[in-house]
Amino acid sequence: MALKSARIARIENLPQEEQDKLGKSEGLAIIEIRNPSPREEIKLIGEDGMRGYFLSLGEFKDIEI
Amino acid sequence: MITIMPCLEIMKSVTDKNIDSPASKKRVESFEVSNQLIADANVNILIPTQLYKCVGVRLNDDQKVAFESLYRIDSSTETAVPIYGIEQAINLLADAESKARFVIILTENISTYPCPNHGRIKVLKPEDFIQKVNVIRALKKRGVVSALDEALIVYLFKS
Repeated sequence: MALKSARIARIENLPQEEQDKLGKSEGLAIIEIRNPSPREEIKLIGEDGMRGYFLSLGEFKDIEI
Repeated sequence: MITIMPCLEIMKSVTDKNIDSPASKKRVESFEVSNQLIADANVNILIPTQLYKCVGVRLNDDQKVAFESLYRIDSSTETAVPIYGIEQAINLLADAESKARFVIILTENISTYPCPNHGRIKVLKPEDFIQKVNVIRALKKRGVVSALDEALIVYLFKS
């Protein structure tokens, strides 16, 4: 399922049922849309923050810049 | 109302395989703080294409999609001739952006980004940025300020 878009959101601002599903009521989350057959997925942002989120999508390539 | 422009050394640390040094950790933390502000206030992150292309070589397809969704990638300074480097692009974009929003340039190399005297662009080191945002967050928690972005503007740009 390819990632098509991502948004950053406060869990506090999500509907209560989403918070219940996530088992969390505060913090940051990423709202993803994946394709084909578009669907929404919500990922929690943990202690590793956005860097951790990017790493959850795969390792960074080891290229010197 | 606030646009944050992280410079190359910040984005390099964010996408480094390992972040070992205290300075690298501060750079990554400043990026995390910037992302938290996106969720909490009228704040966005602006990245010139030149910088994105440089860092983008480290990203896979999903990471690129996430990057392009979450941040504003601006190609307006990318030309064949004259070639605008990353620093030039940031300076020009920051100046244009500051006509519409307040701008924070996040960098270790403050002298590379001369700050015009109109007071709508602030060039900050990662540790200073983190400290200032923490002050405002503490004030908000105590109910001293209501809107995070407005308080940041007063604290960073008007005091």
